Amino acid sequence: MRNRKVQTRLAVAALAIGLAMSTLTPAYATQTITIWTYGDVIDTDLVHTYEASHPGIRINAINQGSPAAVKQKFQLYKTSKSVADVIVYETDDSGYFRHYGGSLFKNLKNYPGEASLSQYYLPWRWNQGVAENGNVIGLPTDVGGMAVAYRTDLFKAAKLPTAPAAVAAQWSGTNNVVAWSNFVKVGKKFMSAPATKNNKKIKGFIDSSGTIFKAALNQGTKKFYSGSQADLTNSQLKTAFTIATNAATATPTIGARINPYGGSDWTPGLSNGAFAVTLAPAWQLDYIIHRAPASRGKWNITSAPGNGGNVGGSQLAIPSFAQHASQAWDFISWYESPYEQLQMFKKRRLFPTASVLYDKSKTCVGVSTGSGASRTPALSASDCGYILKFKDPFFNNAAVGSIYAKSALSLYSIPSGPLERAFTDAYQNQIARVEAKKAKFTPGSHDSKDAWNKAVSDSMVILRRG
Amino acid sequence: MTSLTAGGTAPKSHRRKPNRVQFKSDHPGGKVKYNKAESRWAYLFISPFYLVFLIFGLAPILFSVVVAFFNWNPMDNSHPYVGMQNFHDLVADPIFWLSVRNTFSIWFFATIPQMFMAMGIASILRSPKLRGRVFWQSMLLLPNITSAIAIAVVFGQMFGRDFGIINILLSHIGRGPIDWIEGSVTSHIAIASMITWRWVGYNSLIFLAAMNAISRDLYESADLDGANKFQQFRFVTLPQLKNTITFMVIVGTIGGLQVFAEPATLGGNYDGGDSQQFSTLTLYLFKQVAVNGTYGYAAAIGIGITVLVVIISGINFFITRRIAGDGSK
Repeated sequence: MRNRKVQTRLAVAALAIGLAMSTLTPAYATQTITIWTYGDVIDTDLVHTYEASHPGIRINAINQGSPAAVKQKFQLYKTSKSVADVIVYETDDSGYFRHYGGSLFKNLKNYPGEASLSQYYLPWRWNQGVAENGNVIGLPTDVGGMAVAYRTDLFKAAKLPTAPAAVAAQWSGTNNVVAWSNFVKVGKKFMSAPATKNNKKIKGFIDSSGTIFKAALNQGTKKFYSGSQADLTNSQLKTAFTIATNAATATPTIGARINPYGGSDWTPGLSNGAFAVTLAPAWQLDYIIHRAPASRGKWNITSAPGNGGNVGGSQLAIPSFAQHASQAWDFISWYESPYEQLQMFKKRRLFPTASVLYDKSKTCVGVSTGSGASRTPALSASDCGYILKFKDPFFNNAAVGSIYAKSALSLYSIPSGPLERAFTDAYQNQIARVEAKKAKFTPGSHDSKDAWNKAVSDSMVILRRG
Repeated sequence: MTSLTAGGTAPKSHRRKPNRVQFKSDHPGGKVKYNKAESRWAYLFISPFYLVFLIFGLAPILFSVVVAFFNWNPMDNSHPYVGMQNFHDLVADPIFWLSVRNTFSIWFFATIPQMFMAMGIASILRSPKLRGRVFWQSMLLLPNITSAIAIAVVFGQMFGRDFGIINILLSHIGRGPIDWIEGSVTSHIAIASMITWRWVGYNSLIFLAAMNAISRDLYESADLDGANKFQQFRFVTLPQLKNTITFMVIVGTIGGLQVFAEPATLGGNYDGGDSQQFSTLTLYLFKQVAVNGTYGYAAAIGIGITVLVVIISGINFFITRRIAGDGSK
């Protein structure tokens, strides 16, 4: 008797809840585009803009913490319905996804409007989203580019020139090796200056001389692969390694050994003038502005040694088993459209991969992408001139736009492969060891503990197990 | 292990033998008589754990054993069989053994000082002179409910070479700045301090509960015999805390073998420093998966960890039995 009563009540309650839910649901069903991302690649404001103009679409960007975490989660869920609609992969992993991703992602060529898109972007960054089988699997987000941010106050005290052109002229050179060795010379000069020696806050000329490795490596045409084969001892790689270790072993020491990517001393170091120079990708400018607001006006920006450079940037890709693939395409093609990339530059200094905005060989005025609610406004003449004319008040009115444009436009498509990130770590670790005086690099050495030999053998082990 | 099930199923026997130490099995033969209906219910009640464990625990473990015999690539489903290669590699891998050493070193720095701190804090919390006891006790648990990553970020700042508060304090007593992350022992201490911060409060409360359970009679007798406070602690409190200490060492070992978030956050990647000076076992395993994509080798490392756990559990079991044996005689 009692049991039946309870049962009836439960049934009534369930019915009531069901009814309530069905009346609450709007006429159109809400579709949620799930994105697995890391860091702040997906901008909340821009997402809100999209949601406002697309009723019924909700964007759910889930921060997985790191590019590696996104990659690993994708490996687990890639063939299931639980996979996200969009995943974000970093350029360091582009070799990995280009190699394996051909069949694991939607071929974006099959989506409306793709055919006209590629012409607007930097070819080498676009190619980081083209799989080895020719499928387009990812749209490029921003490009890091590479420039030198330097402290004018510390340069001045050390009696070094402070005007951007004069500073860059000191580390100009006929080739990259000469340019970087001139850079090291400036560092030594800075460190030996009496004002520097008397300034107890200064820990080095550059935050980490290890960062030179990646910068120099990206300036070439080859990294760890020749074609699709791993090539761990090629001359360009060795040159980049030599450039970085030369900087790491310079006397007087020029590196402060403060890691700009995750080191706890970097942020306070920015405000306190612990180092005079940092190799800054464009996205890092926003970090400096927000984490060291008091250093406003003390920084300036100029071209890096050699031809350009890059650190960072991502690709947005749609897994084959995504539940809302066409909606996801609509979102990512809008989000990475030249017009919206310009908005991101204005807001966060993220430098566009849509080179139509700064490459004078491309027609910019009137460019508009997407259709329906996602059609972007046609670029006006002032939009098209914005980046090249942009001067950043925080950085002594440095011509940030044209400096990064030149840097981004001077790079090449470099053959990449699945283990690029692992190899980068292996070589980078040895350079850090040289910098910390835990290891030595003697060109031509046969000692297995020699930094270069160790980097090569560590990488070979990874290659064999992969 | 046995005490948990035995204590749970036969509470009456406890009442009859109040002097028995809990850790020892109360049923040497292990047999308690139930009627059939009762035992069927028993299976039903314990089944959820075993079902879930079967699907989410045992199956993946067995699968990872299989994976360890292949160069397993999750992306293209090419899984060449390599036999014992991964295990041969593992035994000869200096970074694996370095990670073993690091893991135990961190465990040591995290567990031993923490035990003394927890005991000290528990003694203070017991003091009748202490006001607002409940407040202090609940505050102790706050670090425990903070995420390990948040703690690691804050401690990472504190251990910064140039701008960390610890080096600033050291400079006031004339000691040079320590590059905590760069050194081997120093980085272990930094990581151990994060673990200690997170768990010392929890362990204090366990000690407190254990101390409160010690009969007042023992202290009164000790008083009559003329024992001072220290002697009372040494000869009354400490022996009575043996089981608690064992429990903590076991739980600490389990946690110690899993240290991951702290070194990952401190280094900013999965290398554990440029020379793997603070790479731990789980961090090294994860590096194989997330960066190198070598799932087969990662599985072999996982089995290596399992073997270590079995060995340590064996040692723990041996010690535990001896301690429990001492207690009853």
